[in-house]
Amino acid sequence: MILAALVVTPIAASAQSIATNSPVPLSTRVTSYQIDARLDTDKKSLDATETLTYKNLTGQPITLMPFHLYLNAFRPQSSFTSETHFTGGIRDSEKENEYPSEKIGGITISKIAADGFGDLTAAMHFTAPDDGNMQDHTVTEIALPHPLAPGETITFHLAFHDQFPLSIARNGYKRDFIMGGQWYPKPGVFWHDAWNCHQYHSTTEFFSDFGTFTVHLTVPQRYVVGASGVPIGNTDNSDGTKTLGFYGEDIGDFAFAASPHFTVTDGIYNSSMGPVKVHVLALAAHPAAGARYLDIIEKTLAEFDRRYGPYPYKIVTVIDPEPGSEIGGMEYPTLFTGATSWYEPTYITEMTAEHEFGHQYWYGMVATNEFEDAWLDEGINSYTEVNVLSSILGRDTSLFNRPYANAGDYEAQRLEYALAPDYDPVTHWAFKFRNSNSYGGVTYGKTATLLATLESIIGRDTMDEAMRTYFMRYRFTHPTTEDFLRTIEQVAVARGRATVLPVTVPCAGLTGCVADVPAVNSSLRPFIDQAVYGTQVLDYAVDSVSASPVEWWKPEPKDKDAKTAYLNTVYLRRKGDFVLPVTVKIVFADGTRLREKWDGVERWKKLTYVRNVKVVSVEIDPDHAVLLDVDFFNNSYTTKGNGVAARKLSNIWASMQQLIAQLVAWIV
Amino acid sequence: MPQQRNILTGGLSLTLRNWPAVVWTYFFNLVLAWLFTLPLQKQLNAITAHSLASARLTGGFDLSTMGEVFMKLSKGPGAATMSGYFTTPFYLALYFFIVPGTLFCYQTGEPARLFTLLRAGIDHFWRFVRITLVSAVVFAVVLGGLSALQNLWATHVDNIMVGRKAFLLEESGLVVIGLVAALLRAYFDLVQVYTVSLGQMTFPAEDGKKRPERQIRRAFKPAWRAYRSNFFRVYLTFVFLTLLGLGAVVLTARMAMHSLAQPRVWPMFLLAQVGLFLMLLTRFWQRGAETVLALDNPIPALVIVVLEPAIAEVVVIESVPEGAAPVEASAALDDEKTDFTI
Repeated sequence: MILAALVVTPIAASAQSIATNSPVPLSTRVTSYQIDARLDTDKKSLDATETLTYKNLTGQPITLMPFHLYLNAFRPQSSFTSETHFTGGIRDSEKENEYPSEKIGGITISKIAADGFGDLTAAMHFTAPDDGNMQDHTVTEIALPHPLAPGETITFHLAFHDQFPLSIARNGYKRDFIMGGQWYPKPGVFWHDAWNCHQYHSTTEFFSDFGTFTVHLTVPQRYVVGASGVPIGNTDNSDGTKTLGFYGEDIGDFAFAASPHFTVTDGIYNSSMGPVKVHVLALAAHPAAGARYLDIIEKTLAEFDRRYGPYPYKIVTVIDPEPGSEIGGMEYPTLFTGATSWYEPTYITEMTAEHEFGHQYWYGMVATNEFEDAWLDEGINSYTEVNVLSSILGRDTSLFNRPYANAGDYEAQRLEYALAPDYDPVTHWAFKFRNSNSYGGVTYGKTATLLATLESIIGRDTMDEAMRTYFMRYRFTHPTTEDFLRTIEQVAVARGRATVLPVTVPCAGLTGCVADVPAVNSSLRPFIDQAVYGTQVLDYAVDSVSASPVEWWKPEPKDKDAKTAYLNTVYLRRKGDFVLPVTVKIVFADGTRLREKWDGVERWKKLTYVRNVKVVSVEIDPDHAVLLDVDFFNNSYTTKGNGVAARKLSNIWASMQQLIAQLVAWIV
Repeated sequence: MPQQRNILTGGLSLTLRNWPAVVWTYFFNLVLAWLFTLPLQKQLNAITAHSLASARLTGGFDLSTMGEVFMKLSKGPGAATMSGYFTTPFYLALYFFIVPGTLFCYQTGEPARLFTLLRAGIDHFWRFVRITLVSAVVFAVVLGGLSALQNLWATHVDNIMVGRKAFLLEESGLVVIGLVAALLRAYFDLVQVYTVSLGQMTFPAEDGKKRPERQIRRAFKPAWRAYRSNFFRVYLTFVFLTLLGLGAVVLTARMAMHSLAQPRVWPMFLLAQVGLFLMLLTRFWQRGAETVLALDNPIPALVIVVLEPAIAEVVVIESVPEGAAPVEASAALDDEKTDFTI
């Protein structure tokens, strides 16, 4: 009954929203889609008609419209495939010198016309704005016969055909499961006075305007479908198919997944804006998955509501994709895919689900440009993932939790960054990174780690407020890097956790630096300049610790109670180029603890203490606040060694070698 | 009439009586592994011993911290890790001496002292290398073909189902491969036993001098005959002991894993070593069982009757009882047609 109450038939736009818990539209709805599609589950193809209404809110006349045709990336000639082959992709790596025919996908627009503009089919031409690869075909442009004036609306009528590939890069089919992601032509975004419509690259995701979607999908009767938005109808057809209707509003994309093997697990979460249906479609082969997904999403909804702001939609759909597909762990507005297995002893199921839900905020609602500012969705989401999972599953146990071993997500993010820390800054455009390893390590791992470090600098409460302010201020818009950073600076200054430096400077010539908020030249800028815009690596080390008698020329007294004055000398070193003030803790044999500050500007620092006791340990960053440090092991030194860790690891290694030797000896 | 002793208990008895063979093998297995791990331990010590960050490994077991240690290792010189891989080839080389030496002691009753093991091992070394090469070819052909079929089977299963049922079906192919591998391994073990047995016989060579039998091909048929006529006994015993050994390793490894978080290493070390020793013991037990079978099924006796000097020459050859001295063999062993008994 509650479910029925959540989903009502379409009524006048001025009344209660259908797909959100808001009485008013939440976004500037630039686009309106009506798509009628028929899915051929045998041929793994789809035929559809699309009516797209686009409002010119650019303030300028528009003379051409670029469209994304993402499915055309799944061809050997495309930039996506070439880049994946040569520098690796984030999901697949077609290193072999052949492209399997079953992985070829594509989208073909057979006809496009616009009311008042006529047949535009012949006016379409492929373009390659990023790399000039005219074989790419993931962007097509249409020159309008006459301009579309500011404030006017154009309604396109398209007919198109999709061929889904065997699962590749979050798209396609696997066995009888089909994922429809980026399956329809969608226009680029007119942003900062120009069209922003990048080609599809091996390390990029997507960027689109907000709008509404009314989609009718015809599938075989035996299929269960999950899609963006709320269900609005189910009609059985005489040919053994059924037509399902879905409606979404204030979203920028629409995806669907279909499988005959889904089992349904539903729940309701009462958010601060109203009830949200958690609709889980898990595979029958994963009997425990439905409950796990439901549990973690309900908890995640609560955390996000509390920390950052409400989830305004009436539904979130969780798809459990086919094992072996590359479709797991992907986000779309109000729908995402998880990743699990019939046997999953870690918390990867929960981590993936939390991460993809987090994208509903960072990308879905705060709709940053995933081509040019990938760190603003993947990175911020990785940072919030660490905090949310820490709250739910424990800081050091959020990935794996057993009595004999554990692992935390924050350390995993940090290690991901430390593997490739200095090739690229986080602000690089997604397809400009050195390779997929650098993209992954920097965009996800470094961003999470630098934001966690920033949190330590300005305080957890201040950072939470900054994140909440950023979400509430920029949801349903397309903010930039500086919008985010200046929001943090503003909040930190307001709460006294940062100061304003005398000279206020603009973006200082940084490429593509555009922001809607004034610059704040705060005391956080040196950190921001290095961590966000730079590639400096942070690595502090305790170089040496020594204790010698002050009167070194005299023999050591034989009486143990005799007091000897020692000159304790500690050398600290800044091994990396990243300069950050740090705290140092020195502990003496009598239990005395001292905390010193070091600004880190010079390459090394010497600390000396004349005491009757020796130093027993020195630790840089004793509060473990500077997670950006790439090497925790050289941050401290104890005069008394402990060989247990080395022996444990050696024992594991040696035992494995013994076992392997015995097994190999079976050949004799 | 050949004896039909219980090869399982007989094999255990033989193995325990010659316990130094197992102990020496285990000793080399342990010492080699640790010898080649020492450089790695030294490097690990340099990273962890004086750092407070290693507390997450000392008083617990944080997998991420372990990851960071190995990341640091990977950025340093690789020699320490590389040296760990030398254990297997060195152990394998030693194994070529110890196994024939062990079989020699099993058959002759000589005490399994290290000197005896190595001396007999040196004597049989090249024969065992040749047997290993032949068996490797057979394994590669048979198991290679089966592996290709297993891949096709796994792909077929993967295309039509997922989940635990699919996993079990896919792995069933591996079980079949394991059983076939056991079948082949048991046969070649018997070939080794009979090779050692033949090595105790001498025959007149072309120069008229008596030499021990070194042709491994003469062991294939007797091994096959014994295997065929006692197939289920041998095969089931072999499989049972294999599972026993693997089970011991898995159980002790699991128990060792559960002691990872303790602030001491010896429980983990002891548990791992118990499992590894038991696995080795079952392997020697297998060879003991095969030796008992071979002794109960010696190489057939040949009786050749001298009728007329011009017609034929027959030499009586009797099977070698356990512990007896080598006897003369006739060149007639080469010729099947002259094999007959009175």
